[in-house]
Amino acid sequence: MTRRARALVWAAACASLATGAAEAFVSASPIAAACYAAERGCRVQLDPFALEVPLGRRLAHVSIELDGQPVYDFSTDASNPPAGAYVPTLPARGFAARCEESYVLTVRAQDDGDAVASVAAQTDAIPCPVRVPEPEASLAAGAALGVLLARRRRRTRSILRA
Amino acid sequence: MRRIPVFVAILALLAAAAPAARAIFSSPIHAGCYIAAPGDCRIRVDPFTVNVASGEKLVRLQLTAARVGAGSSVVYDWRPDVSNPVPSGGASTYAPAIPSLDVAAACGEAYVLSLQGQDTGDANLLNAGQTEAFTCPSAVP
Repeated sequence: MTRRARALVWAAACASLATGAAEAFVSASPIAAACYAAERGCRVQLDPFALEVPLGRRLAHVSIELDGQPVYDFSTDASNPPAGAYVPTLPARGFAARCEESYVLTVRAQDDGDAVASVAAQTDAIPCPVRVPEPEASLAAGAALGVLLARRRRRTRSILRA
Repeated sequence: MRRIPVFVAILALLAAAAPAARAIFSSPIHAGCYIAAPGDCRIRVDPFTVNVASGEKLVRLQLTAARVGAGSSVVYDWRPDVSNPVPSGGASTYAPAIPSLDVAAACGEAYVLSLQGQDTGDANLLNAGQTEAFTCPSAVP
């Protein structure tokens, strides 16, 4: 960051503090995600991340989107929603995605003072790989074809002998 | 001399009329729904702990998924060892294992997840925690 950029950031921060106009939103630690080929299509796996709820607020809702479409919708306890730092648990095998597509992953969060969820973190476009053919199915199909061919050969031999 | 038995009787009546102390508690219940594959949605629950009163043992735990605007169903039913129920060794807290592959749900539907529990001091299942509503994704993006 250049000196000028730093100065601008500091100026903006000081101005917001002075006016008190800055709205506090839920923030997130940096996020990282990958897309991988799974047994039924592709999946997007998000690394663990932490959310920081503004002081005096409680976390209400978290959603994870791929290209703006929800893949995970998460709600907190109705009586005891978390405050401060919170690490959401994530699916062990990730979210369903389409192979050979690219996705921007967005984490949206909402605390009890927000009217709507706001963007807490976002990735660059994540390319999903080519779909891998199911090994068991292809092996089974190959084996079945081999058996059929062997039977045909035996039949033709027996017919020729006869 | 007559006042003492009357006072004891009043105390006994008050004790009988007072509701039984709730004996089971849990850490907050946070949960969400995600799409794992086309047409395959699952509810994921944050790990939680259950706390029973001193000397009591867990009898039963249930997670109930209530579909918003429709009925509810038990999606997780937990029972301890009959002979050696938990918590053991004088502990009062227990953390049940959560299914690593999560609980099946219907895509596109909204749910409220709640935890019910019963310990040896409870006559029946009590609600220990509940989420706000969350919605399962309807399709793979």
